[in-house]
Amino acid sequence: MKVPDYFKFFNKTRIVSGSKALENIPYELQSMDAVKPLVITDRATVNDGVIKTLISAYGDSGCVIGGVFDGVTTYASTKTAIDAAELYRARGCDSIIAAGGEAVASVARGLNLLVSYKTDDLLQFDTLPDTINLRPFIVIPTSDSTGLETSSMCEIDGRKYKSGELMPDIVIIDPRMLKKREKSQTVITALSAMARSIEACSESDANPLNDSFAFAAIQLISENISPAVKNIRSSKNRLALANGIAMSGIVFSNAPEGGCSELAVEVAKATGHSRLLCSTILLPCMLDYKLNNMKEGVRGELLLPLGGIDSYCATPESERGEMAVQSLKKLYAGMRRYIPLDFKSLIIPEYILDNAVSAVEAGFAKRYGKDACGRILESAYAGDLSTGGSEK
Amino acid sequence: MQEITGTSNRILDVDLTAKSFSVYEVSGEDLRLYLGGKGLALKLLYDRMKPGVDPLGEDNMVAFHTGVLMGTGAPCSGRFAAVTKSPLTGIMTSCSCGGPFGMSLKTSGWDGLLIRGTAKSPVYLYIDSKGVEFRDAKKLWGMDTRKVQQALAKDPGEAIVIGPAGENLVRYANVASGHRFLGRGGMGAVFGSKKLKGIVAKGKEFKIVPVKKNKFDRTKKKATDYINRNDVSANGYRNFGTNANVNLNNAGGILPVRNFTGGTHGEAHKISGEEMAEKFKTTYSTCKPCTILCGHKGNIGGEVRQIPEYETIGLMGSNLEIFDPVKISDFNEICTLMGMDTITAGGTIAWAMEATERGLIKSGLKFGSDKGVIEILKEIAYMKGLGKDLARGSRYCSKKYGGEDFAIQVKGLEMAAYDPRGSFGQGLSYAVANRGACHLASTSFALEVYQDLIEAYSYRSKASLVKFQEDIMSAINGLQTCVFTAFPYQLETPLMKYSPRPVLKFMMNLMAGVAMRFVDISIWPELWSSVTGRRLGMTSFLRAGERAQVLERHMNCAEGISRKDDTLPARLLNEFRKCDSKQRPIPLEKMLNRYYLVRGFDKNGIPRERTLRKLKIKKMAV
Repeated sequence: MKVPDYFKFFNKTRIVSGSKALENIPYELQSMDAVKPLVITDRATVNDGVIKTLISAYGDSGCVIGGVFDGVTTYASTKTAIDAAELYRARGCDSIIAAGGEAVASVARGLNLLVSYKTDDLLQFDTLPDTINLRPFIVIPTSDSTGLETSSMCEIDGRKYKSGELMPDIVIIDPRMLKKREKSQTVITALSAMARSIEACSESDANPLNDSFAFAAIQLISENISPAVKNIRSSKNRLALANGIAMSGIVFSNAPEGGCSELAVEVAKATGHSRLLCSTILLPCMLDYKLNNMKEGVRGELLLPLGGIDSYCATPESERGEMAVQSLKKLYAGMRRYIPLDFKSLIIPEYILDNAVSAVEAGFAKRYGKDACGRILESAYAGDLSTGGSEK
Repeated sequence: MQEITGTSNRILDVDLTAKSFSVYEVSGEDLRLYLGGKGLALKLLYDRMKPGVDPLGEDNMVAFHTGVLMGTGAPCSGRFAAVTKSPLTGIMTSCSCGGPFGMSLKTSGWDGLLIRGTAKSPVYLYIDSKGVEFRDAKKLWGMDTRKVQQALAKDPGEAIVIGPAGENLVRYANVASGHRFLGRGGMGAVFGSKKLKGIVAKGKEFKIVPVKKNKFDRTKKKATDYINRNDVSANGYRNFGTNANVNLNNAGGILPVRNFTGGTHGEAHKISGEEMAEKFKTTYSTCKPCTILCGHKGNIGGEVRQIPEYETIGLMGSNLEIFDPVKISDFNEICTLMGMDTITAGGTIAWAMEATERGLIKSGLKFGSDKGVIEILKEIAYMKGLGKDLARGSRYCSKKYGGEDFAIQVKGLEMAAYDPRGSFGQGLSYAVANRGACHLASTSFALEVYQDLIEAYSYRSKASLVKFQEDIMSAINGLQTCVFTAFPYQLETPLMKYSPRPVLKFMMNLMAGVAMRFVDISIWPELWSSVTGRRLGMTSFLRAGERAQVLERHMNCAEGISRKDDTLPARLLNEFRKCDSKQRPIPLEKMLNRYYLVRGFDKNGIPRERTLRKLKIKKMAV
């Protein structure tokens, strides 16, 4: 295992996962000297009935929920964070629980900055120090979670805020909070979380601690995505998938942004499609490019979480990178009926993709070689790499 | 003067790169299927332009069509259509324009115009019955729209021109014809990218004579009677212009206020058509020929000016919390001279005001204050400072600076001045309109709020209503006549006029699909068929409108448009107007599902193959 000469790894998040995990919240809050959380969520989560479940999990603990703010939409805005802060102060809350997806967690983090620093101006937090004193913060992933809820980064009104202290203190993964969603949505969030993890351990400065989280995330997702999608009643698979997705956020916080994520952001901006879908489509093309055009190729250890122990042991070391990519393609092929696997089927005009290329080209050329960006997008457009045959 | 009986069917195909032109003759089949106007212009581009073209590149084309009614003297027929790919939205945009150019083009012997390529240096085109001359426009480049129209007036004929905004590729630059505009979507920027300062058509070389003159005269008389009887056309719009909508919208809670945070305002009356008519002693100033006479001018601030239309009053007035009509007229003047769409300019400035409030950008702009607005409009026109970003519209700015939730646009086109939270059908209309948040695709607010014939806060019937209205508007834009004829020509027919109101309401709310079949829309096809001599019934008329509508959608889908784009701004889906105590959310998904069903689209909003086949639209090879 390669250990870089110097690396940093930070994770302050504890994960509590399993049946009745919610019932641990009052105890966990008390251990952080908090008794009255404000729950931040959105209307979809409320309509799912899971907030009722959360409230009833308090039972006779003696703790009380200070309030429920359900005004978060799919777009995290400064105004929403300020409105939430107003409610937080009015109710005398002392901690924050975010139940929902990325936007909910982002607003919760924005709220935490505002109430911890007693301000209404988020914009002053252009750069955040590594040590900041925030209120206790719990994240409860739901079926809308993408993994970034557990990361050190949030985006509010298009502005990114990054600090290790923004990571939640605790993540509670309870199967009762994981309600049914569109299969395509489940697949996209899972594969984009996997993409994030694969990218993190594919970078040249990957470190063993982050690798362990990344490999665990990749394995949990690759083993559970298919059964979770096929059998939505299987809470065991959905729970395992949710764990993998949550871990990907920790991985993401401890690695630089990969080329696939960077390109996905620009393609999403240019086309209006979601960043998650774009990163899902780009990942195999990115890996294929690295395998065929870059000296370091694709990391052979990826075969272990992607292909399983048998495949890993049976494959010569020199071929493990290629087999890892094949395993990923096979996984994708099995998901073909749920999501588009190329940009062409999304009917995106090629000139729009050219705009995305010009936004990242310089950086890409430095890291991956000349024309890399264009070639990766070309293959992502045509989808000629994501074959792999039908699932056995 | 020579005569053209019916229509010439001749299109002038102009290549700016090669400085050449050719003549294309529209087939009888295309005329029958698309009628003319917008539909035929779309077809011309569909047959020639591939998807994926850069709107500001050489391969983009502009198609004009005058429609068969132009030049015949039919009521409100002084309008022409233009279609291109929009640099603001990246999808097709179509505009309808009054003003004198259409008549001149038609009476020069041409039904339409196709502009392709890019000139090497600024040019303007001079068109007469023989063809086109490419004239040097270097001395005109830089002139505002009024100055350049005056300069071109030395030649016989009428012109369409761009101002500095078009030259500088402001994404919502428009094209002026007299005091009317090809307003939305940035057609002016397309002209600017082609270095085309303007087009002059000589006109008065041909007289247009209907094939069946007697039938035409009878229908024309009936149409004129309807217009003169109808309260909207003969009273509201004729006396007070489109600003007759201000008080109606304010009462109905759909007036845009403070970047669509509110639907009413206590000072709205100050910018109403009624008060402005009195204050500015307005007189008519309209397209020709026009029987409705909605256009007005008046004495504003010591000079005679065109009264701003309702959209300008809404988006640059109440939406910015400015209720001084003189100030709004000042903004209108700048946009007129620079050649910019006031709707997008107003919507983008409202975004900028709110973004400033929230600290996302730094500007001197503030709701309720006109300070800095004229300066920012000039900065936009000349792509300077913050204006350089604002010139690309609120979608671009919100993606760059944040504030996407309060960028009030759909598909990149800023919303018109009717708040859909008080008119759910209008919400569906905005979400699905082909060119973006356009109020002219389907004017549901009229039936929901003004006429109170359809329940505004229900999702029921809205899909059928919007489809029907879209098809009618599309067909009207194929003729072409003014869409305001929809009020008299539908509402003055015996069935609508004399049916008991409760029966009408019941039918339209609960059996809309059936009710629409009984609406008498015969005047329009009668006018068309009397001019061309070809048969056209109500069903075929409506089908032609549906065809143009679906064709445009098909072209947009080839540019990546799908369900994800048929939506409304986050503010309108998640926030409520102060005047709505019941806080009723727009049930968009329900209406959208039903709309796709009635339209023959799949669940992603893509026209099904059988829908294209039914409408005789050859599927594009993507």
